[in-house]
Amino acid sequence: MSDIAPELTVIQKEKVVYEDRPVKQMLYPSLLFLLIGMAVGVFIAFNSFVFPDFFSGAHTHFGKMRPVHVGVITLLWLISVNMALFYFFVPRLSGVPIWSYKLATATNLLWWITLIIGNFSFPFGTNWGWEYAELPALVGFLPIKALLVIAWILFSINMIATVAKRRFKRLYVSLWYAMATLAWTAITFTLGNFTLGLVPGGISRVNMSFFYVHNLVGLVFTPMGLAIAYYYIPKIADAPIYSHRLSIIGFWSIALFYAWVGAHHMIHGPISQWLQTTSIIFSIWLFIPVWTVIYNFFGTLKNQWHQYASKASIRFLMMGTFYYLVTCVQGPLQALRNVNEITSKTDWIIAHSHIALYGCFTFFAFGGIYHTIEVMTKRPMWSERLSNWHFGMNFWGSLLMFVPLMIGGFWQGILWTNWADGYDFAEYRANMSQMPFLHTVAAMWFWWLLRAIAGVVILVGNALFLWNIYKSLSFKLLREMA
Amino acid sequence: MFWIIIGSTAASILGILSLIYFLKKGHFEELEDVKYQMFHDDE
Repeated sequence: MSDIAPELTVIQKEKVVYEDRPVKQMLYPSLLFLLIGMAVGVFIAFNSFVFPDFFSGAHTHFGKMRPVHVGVITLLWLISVNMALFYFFVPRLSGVPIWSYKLATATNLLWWITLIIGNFSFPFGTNWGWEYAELPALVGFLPIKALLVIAWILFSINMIATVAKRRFKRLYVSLWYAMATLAWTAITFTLGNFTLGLVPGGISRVNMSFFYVHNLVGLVFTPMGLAIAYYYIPKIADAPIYSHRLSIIGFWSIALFYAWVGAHHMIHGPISQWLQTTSIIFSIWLFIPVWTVIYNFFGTLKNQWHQYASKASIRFLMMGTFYYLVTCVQGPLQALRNVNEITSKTDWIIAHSHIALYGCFTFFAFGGIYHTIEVMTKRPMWSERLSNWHFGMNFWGSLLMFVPLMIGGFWQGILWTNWADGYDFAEYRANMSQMPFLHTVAAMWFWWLLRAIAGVVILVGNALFLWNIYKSLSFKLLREMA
Repeated sequence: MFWIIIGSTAASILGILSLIYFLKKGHFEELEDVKYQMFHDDE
C-alpha cells in the first residue's frame, strides 16, 4: 500500500529544499543557555550545599538561584532545543519545507525575549511561587506568561500546518509524538499556570500543582524526547525502527496512562487514600509504554552496535535510552507506599529528576544535535576527539552525580525514618532529641561534594561540546540567523 | 469542581474520538511500511 498521498505523487521526485534557519535560531542560543543553566547549578551545588552561603546575599541564596537553574535548564535549554530539533525533523518527516519561515522567526524571537526576561527576573523577587510554574504573570509591564502562550500557539500553528501539507499519508511515530506534544503542552501549561486560583486553596491547589508538575514530565518532556529519539536513532544508525507497531502502542498507552499519576508526589500526604492508590496503579502501568520504547530502541541497534563505538551521537542516544529505563523503573517503584516512605523528599528524588531531564532527554538532544549540525553544515563535526571527550565527561559526570545522590538520598531517608519514628508520642520525641534533623543534613555533605564535582565535570564536557560546534560552523553564522 | 469534571471528561472523549478517527482513516494499517519514510529524502 503506497504511503504517498495520491494527489502528491507528482512531486515526489522533486528534491525538497528545507529551510533550516529556524533550527539555528533556536539551537544556537539554547546551547548557550545549557552552559549558563549548568553553571548556575554548579554554583548552587557549591554555594548552598558544600560551602553554604560562601557568597551570601539577597540574590544568591538557594531560594533565588534554584528557580533560575530550573527555569533556564527546562525552558531556555531543554524545551528550546527540542523545538529546534522539531524544526529540523518535522519538515523532513513530512517531506515538505516548514509552512512559514517568517512565522517561525517571529515565534522564535518572541520565545527568547519572553523567557530571558522571565527567568532572569527571579533573583529580583518575581517568582510566582509554584513548582515549575515560577514564571511571573508580569515583569514590569510585560505579560510574560501570556506572551509565552502566544509564542507556543504560533509554534503549534506552524508545526500543524507543515504536517497538514505533508507528502506522506500516514504519520511516523515521531510526528504522532510531536503533534501530541503541542496539544498536551498547551493544556498542561494552562492548568498549571492559569487555573490554580480556580480550585480551593490548600491541598486542592497542591493537588492541581502536582498534576501539572508530573504532566510536564510525562506529557511535555517525554513526548518531545521520544519524538526526537524515534527520529534520530534510526536515521543516524541508518536502520529502521525495530517495530513501528510497538511504538504506536507505546504512544497511545502514554496518552492513556500518564495523566493519572500526578498524585504520587503526595503519597503519605494529606490527600485521600483512593487518589494515592489510583496514582500508584497508573504509575505501575507506565511500565507498558516504557517497555515499548526500550525494546524498540535496543532492537533497532541490533546488528548495529559497532556504531556505538564509532559515533558519539549514537552513544548519547543509547545512553539516554538506558537512563530512560532507569528513571522509568525508579518512578513506578517510588510510587509504592513503602518505597515512597524512604525516598520521598530526599536527595534520591534529585537524582531521579536529573536522570530524567539530564540523563535521558538532554542526552537525546545531544545525539540529535550532532546529526543536525552535520546535515546543516554538510560535513562531519570539526573534531571527533572532542565529541568523544564530550560523551566521556558527560557519562562519567552523570554517574558521579546520580550514584552518590541515590546512595546519600536513601541513607537520608533511612535516617529520617529512625529520627521521626515511635510507637507513641513520647518515643517519637525521644528519638527526635537523639538525632536532630541537622545531623541528617550534615550526613549528606560528602554526597553533595561528589555531586558538585560531577557538575564541574559535566559543565567542562559541555563547554568542549560548544567549542566543537563553534569550530564546525562557518563564520556565516550571524548572517544565516537573520 | 463541576467545570473540572466537565473539562477532563471532554478532553478524554476528544482523545478517544481522535483515536477512532485515525483508526477509520487507516493510519494504523500496515504500520511497518511507515518506518521507511525517513529514508526517502536525499540527506
